[in-house]
Amino acid sequence: MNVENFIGSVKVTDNAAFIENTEKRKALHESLKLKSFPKVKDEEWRFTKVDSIFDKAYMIPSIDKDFTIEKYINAKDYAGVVCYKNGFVIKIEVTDLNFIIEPLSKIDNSFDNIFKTQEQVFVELNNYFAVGGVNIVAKKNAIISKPLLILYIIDKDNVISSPRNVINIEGGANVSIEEKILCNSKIESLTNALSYINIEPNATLNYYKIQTGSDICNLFDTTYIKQQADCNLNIFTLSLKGRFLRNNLRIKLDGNGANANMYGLYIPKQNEHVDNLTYIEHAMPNCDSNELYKGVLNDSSSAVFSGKIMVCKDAQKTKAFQNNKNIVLTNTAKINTKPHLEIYADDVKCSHGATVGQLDEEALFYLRSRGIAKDDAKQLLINSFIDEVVNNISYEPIKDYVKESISQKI
Amino acid sequence: MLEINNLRANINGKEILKGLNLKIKEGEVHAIMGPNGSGKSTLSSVIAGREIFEVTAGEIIFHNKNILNLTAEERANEGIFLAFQYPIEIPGVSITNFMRAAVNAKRLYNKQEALSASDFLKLMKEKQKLVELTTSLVNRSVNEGFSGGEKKKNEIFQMAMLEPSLAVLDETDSGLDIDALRIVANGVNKLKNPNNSYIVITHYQRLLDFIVPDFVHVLYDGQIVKSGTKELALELEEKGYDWIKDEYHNK
Repeated sequence: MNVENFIGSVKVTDNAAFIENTEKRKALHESLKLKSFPKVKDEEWRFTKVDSIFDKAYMIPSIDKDFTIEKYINAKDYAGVVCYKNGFVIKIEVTDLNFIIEPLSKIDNSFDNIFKTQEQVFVELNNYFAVGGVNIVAKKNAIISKPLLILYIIDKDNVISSPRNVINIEGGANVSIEEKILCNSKIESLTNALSYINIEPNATLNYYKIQTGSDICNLFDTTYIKQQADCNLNIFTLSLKGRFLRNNLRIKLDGNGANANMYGLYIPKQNEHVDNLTYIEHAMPNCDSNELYKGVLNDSSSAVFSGKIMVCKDAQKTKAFQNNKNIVLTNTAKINTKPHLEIYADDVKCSHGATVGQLDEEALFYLRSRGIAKDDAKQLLINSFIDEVVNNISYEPIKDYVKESISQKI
Repeated sequence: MLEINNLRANINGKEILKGLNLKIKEGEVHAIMGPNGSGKSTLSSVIAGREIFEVTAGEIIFHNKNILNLTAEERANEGIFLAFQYPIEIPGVSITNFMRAAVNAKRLYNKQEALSASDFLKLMKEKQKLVELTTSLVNRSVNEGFSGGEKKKNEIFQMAMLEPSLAVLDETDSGLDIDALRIVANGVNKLKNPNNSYIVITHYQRLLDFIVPDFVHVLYDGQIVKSGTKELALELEEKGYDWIKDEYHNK
């Protein structure tokens, strides 16, 4: 299906309130008409087919504010909560006033031009269909130990939702944000989320993406991050459940001495497909980046890792490391991994690598020879593999939740 | 307690054990010696239930039960322990978690309740002392970055935790200096009682000075070709294996 037909096929309920004004949407429509969905001949989409996802008829429902937060989370664990339901922002609650959160009234596209990407069609579709968005500011020098929660709830059949978060972490602030998607298990849905994050000098942001979708949910998640001087980012992309998950994570280290740690975990089962595209651009000197993505693939699942480190000409004294490790548990599961490094500076320390293997039979026998049942021994080995990612989560309630979700699935 | 009758086993279609017989009673220590490639490690793997070996004939009766149809974990829980010649490194799995899983698996198998955390730690401390394994090691990942001596001590520590009735020590002395050898052997001797038995596989008489065997067997060409008392080990040390090979081939 081409993009224009897709746009035409989306049923819009009368009172859907688009963020963008009619004029801008008209312009977006014109632009989208000329675009097509990515094809496998596009380098960044070689192993992920999206056609079947856009062949379906989706709809934008009317706003439904019915929401019992206790059903999903313990609000006391958070410094604030933003809740999207089927794409609409239905709740903004701030308990720590160092966070300022407002509904997004206008879409600022200045971020789009930072990266020239093959996912521009998804960015524009998000702009075109967005009925809800938030602007989040963490105030200067604010130190907040509890995370802010951004919750995406999908509970209507065939919904297309386009949440959009614009986040600014002001200088010297130290905060955490947890983003969680929860889908009703019986409905087909498409979520096309977009987040723009700016981290000012000396700030620290811990960002947790916890993807707990359903067996029939589709998620495109695009996150663009700009890091200024001497700031720190720890970002986790934890793909725990979902039939189709595609993450586009692009980071620009745009100030001297910025530091980014990117962690990823995917544990697909059955026919789930997880595709992680990461791109980190070292634009300035003295920046560090460290990337570790790990996957455990079961049944007939598939996953893609495609990571690129770009070290620009001026980015001397760069330290950039990237690693992708995979365990494939069956003969039918499939991983395509492509670590990639491009360096234009001459005084740098960089490495990249990828491994694909099976559970270590020797280790398995060793554990079993001590009386541990085969399945438990496998679990121990898988957990130890995964822990290398999960143990970097510094906020214990999130770590516990993630560990619990993993053990339920594996 | 253990009776191996006419045991034949293959790996990748090649026959390694060719009709092996061995009988062990409660409380006995049996040493198995033999030239390289005679099948010693295969025997220990087959007893422990390693699946890459295919048993084509014979039986292994342990406590009046043929264990050949049991999985490796079932055999362990029945009371068989294999101290590995080359203990495996398992990054990310702490010895504590590993042993808790193992001890409780055995208790579950024997329909006992799992040990409480405090009882378990008490047990750990007690058994650590036995092989002089320091606490800092126990908090590390299984065998990861351990020296050869530490790995072997860790094997004996695990044995102490699991209290098997039959322990197979597969070249536990290889890679050990004299001090570590003494510590390992002392650990084994402290664990010895009238109800448990040992199969000690070794190339060297030296270990048998510390762990004194009741019987010594020579394994050659997949069979036990000669058995005797501890004096046989001394004789082998002095004369090597050629005379045994000659005896075997002239039969």
